[in-house]
Amino acid sequence: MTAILILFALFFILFLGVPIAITLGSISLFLMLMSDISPLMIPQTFYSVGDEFVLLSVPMFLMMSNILLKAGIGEDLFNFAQSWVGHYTGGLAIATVVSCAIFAAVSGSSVATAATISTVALPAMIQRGYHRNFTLGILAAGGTLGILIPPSIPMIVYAFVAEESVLSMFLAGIGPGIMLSIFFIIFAVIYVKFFNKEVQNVRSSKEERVINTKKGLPIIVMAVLMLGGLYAGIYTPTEAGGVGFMISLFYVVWKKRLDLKGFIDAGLDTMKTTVTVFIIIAGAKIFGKVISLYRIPQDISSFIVNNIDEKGMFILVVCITLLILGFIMETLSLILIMMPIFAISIKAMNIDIIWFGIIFTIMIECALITPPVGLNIYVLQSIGNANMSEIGKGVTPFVLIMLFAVLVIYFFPNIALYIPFKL
Amino acid sequence: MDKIIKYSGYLASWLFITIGFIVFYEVIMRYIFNSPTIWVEEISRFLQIWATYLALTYSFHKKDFIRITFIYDKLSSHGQKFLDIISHIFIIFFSSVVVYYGWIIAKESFDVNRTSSSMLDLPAFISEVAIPLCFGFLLFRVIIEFINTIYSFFKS
Repeated sequence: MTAILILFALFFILFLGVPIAITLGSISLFLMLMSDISPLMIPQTFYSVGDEFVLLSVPMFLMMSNILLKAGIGEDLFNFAQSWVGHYTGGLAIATVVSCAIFAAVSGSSVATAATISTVALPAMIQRGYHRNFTLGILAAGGTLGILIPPSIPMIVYAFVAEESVLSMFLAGIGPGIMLSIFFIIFAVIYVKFFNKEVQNVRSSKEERVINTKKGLPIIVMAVLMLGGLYAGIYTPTEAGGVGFMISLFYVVWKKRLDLKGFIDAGLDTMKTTVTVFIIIAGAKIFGKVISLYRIPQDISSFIVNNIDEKGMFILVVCITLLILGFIMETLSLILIMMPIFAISIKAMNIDIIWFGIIFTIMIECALITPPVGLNIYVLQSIGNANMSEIGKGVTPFVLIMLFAVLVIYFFPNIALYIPFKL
Repeated sequence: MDKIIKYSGYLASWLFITIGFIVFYEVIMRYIFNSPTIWVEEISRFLQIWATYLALTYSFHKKDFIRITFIYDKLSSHGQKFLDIISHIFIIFFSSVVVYYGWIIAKESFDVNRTSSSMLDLPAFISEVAIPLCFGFLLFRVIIEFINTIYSFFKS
């Protein structure tokens, strides 16, 4: 009963538009006062979140993405991919997915990925006769690869609240990330072949290929440096962020791609995202502790265990909940509000927390592109002057592909778990 | 007031950039010169606390706090003001508690001279005091916004 009341109050206050961090904090505070727990824990949690070296990877990776975004690296990457695959059926669509996937390996954010690639790919695709809805859909969906292919801000946050290793999460994302990219490409080729025949494919000359490869190669080297260094244990995720930030900064300064103003803007964007995310993390931590003092997750867990005896059913229920909430909420708040509630159930059901994290991440990718609320949608609205219904139509097949990917990973957990644990 | 907030935001973002430099420095020192530093991790955590909470007021000022605007966006500007007022009340209530208890923690550390349990032995006070100070700054900014919103709510 208390559980229902608290959850009701939570969502009621959230829907009033009170900032998420403040909502979580205020409800916790109220519950603490009700049962004479000292609110000293609140500032302590804010302090300990800021004092966390692991979370420092969030601003570091954001800095790297923002610098590359402001420097217009997307163009190099897209031209590079296009010069190699442009002549195949649906060549530009393939190039879009490939360049999103590569950018995802140097960026931890889906918004940065979508924005970087869209600015070049959107006009190029429309000009060559790709349907507008399809183009918007593939760009929105391709952008979400940013959080599945490591580094990934939502994965850092997930690992932090689930008390798991960030590195394992990162490595577990590689397989599913590649798989999902391949699914997108297959769909794009089929779509162009049967429904969008009028598109022009572009064949590049040898010289163009050489020029574009020279421009695109540094980004690939950066991606390999980041992932390779992490995998080999040369640096921790936080240090990988710091190194990535510096390398990208040296690169854009050396190539004169970024002026001081762009650099300051990148810093400001990073700072704004970091603070808004960190206070929600702190709010969720406080909320998590307080509701477990009230035994809410335990009650939900025993309710779930008593009524759902199968892992598959549980995952299905979680996915449906996330899909529905995904329409109206955005990524990090989904993780941070749902994880304290689900955490104990996951352990009680004996579910691998890394594997669950990957499924969670893909569901969050859906949330990013399902209207009306989805960060990638806002990106395309501003870059492509698109309205909500165009994008909504465009993303529908991609949401279905993502759900299919969840299904595949459910039946073949090794797609995610092979690289971190069995290689 | 606007100027102070603007510069606090710039300062916060430069602090993050500084952290990037020193973390990079640490990796270089460790792998190329084989002499890991003792201060990088601790200093960067210290800077992170200040940078994060210093940016709090700036983000509020720029209306960047993450919230669910699903219903909010559908309302008239009058209705939005009403919801804003509710939000402000929540923020004022919550931040006051953080300021009060955060100050208790920082003051206690100051009184007993508590230090970080690490090689640098920094006083815990200098990073703990960031919480009440920065939330106090936020509180101040929100109260101004609250008064303005109420004023324009009843005027229209």
